[in-house]
Amino acid sequence: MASVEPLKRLHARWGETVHFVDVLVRQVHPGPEVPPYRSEAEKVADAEAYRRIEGIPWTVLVDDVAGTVHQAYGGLTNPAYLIGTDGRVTFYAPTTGARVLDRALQKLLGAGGRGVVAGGRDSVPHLLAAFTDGWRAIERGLPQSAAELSSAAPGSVALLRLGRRLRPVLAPLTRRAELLSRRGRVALVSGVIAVLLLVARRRPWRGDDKERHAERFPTVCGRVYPHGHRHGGNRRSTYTRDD
Amino acid sequence: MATRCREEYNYDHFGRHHLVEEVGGFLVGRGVRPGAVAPDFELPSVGGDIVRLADLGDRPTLLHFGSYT
Repeated sequence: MASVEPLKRLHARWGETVHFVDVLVRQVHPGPEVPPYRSEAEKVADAEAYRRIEGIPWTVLVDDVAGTVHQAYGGLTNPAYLIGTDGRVTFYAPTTGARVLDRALQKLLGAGGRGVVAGGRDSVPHLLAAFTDGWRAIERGLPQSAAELSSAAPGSVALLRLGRRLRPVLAPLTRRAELLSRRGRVALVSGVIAVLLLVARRRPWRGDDKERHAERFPTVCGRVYPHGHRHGGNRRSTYTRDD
Repeated sequence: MATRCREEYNYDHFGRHHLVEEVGGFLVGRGVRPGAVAPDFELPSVGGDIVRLADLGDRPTLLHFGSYT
């Protein structure tokens, strides 16, 4: 459910001086329409759709079905590496934070295109872009993808759906490639806290709330989860594209 | 690092253990360490060209791994 949107900002800034290469990996959140890959042809077709739908202007490569290259690079879901002209890793961002990559690229180009820069590794998880743009990836695997994500990380689907609704307002902020000012960071943290409070208020924690929630959103349970998983408590077991 | 078989790599269902493994991988820094030689590869691109990492040495490369889902 990662987003390539911040990378587009980076590409607009550095695309003339740096090779941008994407490698398509496995289905992270499979679903009825996007099952796990069983052949190279399926992966090539998805790579073409990935490039077209996401509007990716740089090269997209197709790893083999076994994910040989992906696994050689650690196998995490959404990493990015800066590789110097000498073929060595100069910086590793396990969650592809555009701002730190931007800073690392500045240092790398300033150092002649080689050598470890910016400490070599990013140690901060970057999830803001996934908040506003991550739903697009989950949506492709509905309803299975959302049900499984919700089961694995309760509340995450609600956050992604909220992020999708707030995208027009927040996207200019979450997709930024440049570092925020101190005032901007304070505003951002305040906004995230406000969003979390809103989500907490919307969650149907108690029985009465669940009934009211069902009345407000009568189409939510329009589909049955096809694999027969049961989800207890306040977890939603069905999701549709119209949620 | 351990390599998964093809079936295990392409799982049918996303579960909590995948999330835990992802977070764990992040915390321990799983991946190619800075300063090490980047594993070379030769892969087909959308459009049909074959791209080899070693042939991109004229400029630095930003290598991103992404999923359709």
